[in-house]
Amino acid sequence: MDERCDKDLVIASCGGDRTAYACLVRRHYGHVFLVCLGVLGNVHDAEDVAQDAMIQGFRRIGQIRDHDQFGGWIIAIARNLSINHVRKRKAAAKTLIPRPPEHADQGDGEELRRAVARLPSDLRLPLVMYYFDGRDVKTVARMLEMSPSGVYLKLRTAIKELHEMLTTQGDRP
Amino acid sequence: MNRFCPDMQDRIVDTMLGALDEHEARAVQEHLAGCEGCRRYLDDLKRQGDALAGLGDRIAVDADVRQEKVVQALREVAPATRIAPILSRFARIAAAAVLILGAGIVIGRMTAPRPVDVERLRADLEASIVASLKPAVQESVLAGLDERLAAALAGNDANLQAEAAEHIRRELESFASNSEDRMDRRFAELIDAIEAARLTDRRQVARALEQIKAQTGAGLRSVAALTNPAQATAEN
Repeated sequence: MDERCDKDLVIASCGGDRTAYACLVRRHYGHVFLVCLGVLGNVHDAEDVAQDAMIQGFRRIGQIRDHDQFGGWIIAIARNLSINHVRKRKAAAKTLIPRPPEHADQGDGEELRRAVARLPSDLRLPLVMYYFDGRDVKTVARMLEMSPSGVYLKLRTAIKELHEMLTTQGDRP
Repeated sequence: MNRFCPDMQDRIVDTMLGALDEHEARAVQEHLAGCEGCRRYLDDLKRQGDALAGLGDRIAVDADVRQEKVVQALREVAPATRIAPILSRFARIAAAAVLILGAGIVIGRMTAPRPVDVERLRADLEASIVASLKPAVQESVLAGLDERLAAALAGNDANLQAEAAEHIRRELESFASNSEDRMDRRFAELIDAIEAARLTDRRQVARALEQIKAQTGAGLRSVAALTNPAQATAEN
């Protein structure tokens, strides 16, 4: 793993250094993927959009203003791409034959996965970021550019709604 | 099955998230100690949280594979911008300067004066002078006409006023003389009427007095005759 800081890696990437950018990918891909998963609600789409976000980041690396802020910058790109993807998906759902549901693994937690997917994206995103990435509200707030109290409010609502969905279905977590 | 207390729901969720201060957390713990429904709700939420974290872990299993896919995909992508940001900023400023200069040159050429055409300039000047002086000349002529017309009207007005004054004076004199005669006649008629009335009254008074006198004389005579015995005897 390259020990250089983000700033040095960004500057190197601006000069076309693919290795430097690959280091940035390995360092930030997890959060980018979670943001995409939080907005989109399924792993397959999240993989595609996260990859697109990373590729766009490489193409537009010269436009970054603050070299220290690559994490927030690439997450903003991923979030915007995910929101656009949701819009396209909704538009396609109106005109095309509905896409078959994502192939479900029959293992444990499938009902929970479905319940999470049914949450509104503005609740699902902080929930996924919180539980899939170390349960740290401050980190979630920083990545989503929200206040910690705002994140707490979203989390509280998401947790209550998720519990309601699971207990209504009769599937206790 | 006992459900949780609705008014405690938010605080139970906050307890699980660690969002309560010490005092609030203690109050919730005291409630939980005596409320089975809320204890069960908190346990449910904890299991739900653990299940979510487990789901995240399962999804993260393939994280390395996904990362490497992205890195592989990047090998086929050419960065659109290879210029360092400082240079890029300089390039943007330079491009802006070039654009501004270019626009200035184009605008300057479009608005620059053309070679002077003397005949055209003279014709334009004449037209311009005529156009500018024409209204003033017209106005001056009209003003002169107005003044002459006003003077003529003023002379006519004086004559008319003198004639009218003379006519009025004559009319007033005629009216005054006629009115004096009429007044005198009216006064004379009035005096005559008064005199006639007075004479009439006098005659009527005289007649009345005559009648009174006659009646009174006859009465006195009768009284005298009745009261004088000699005369009465003689008469008898």
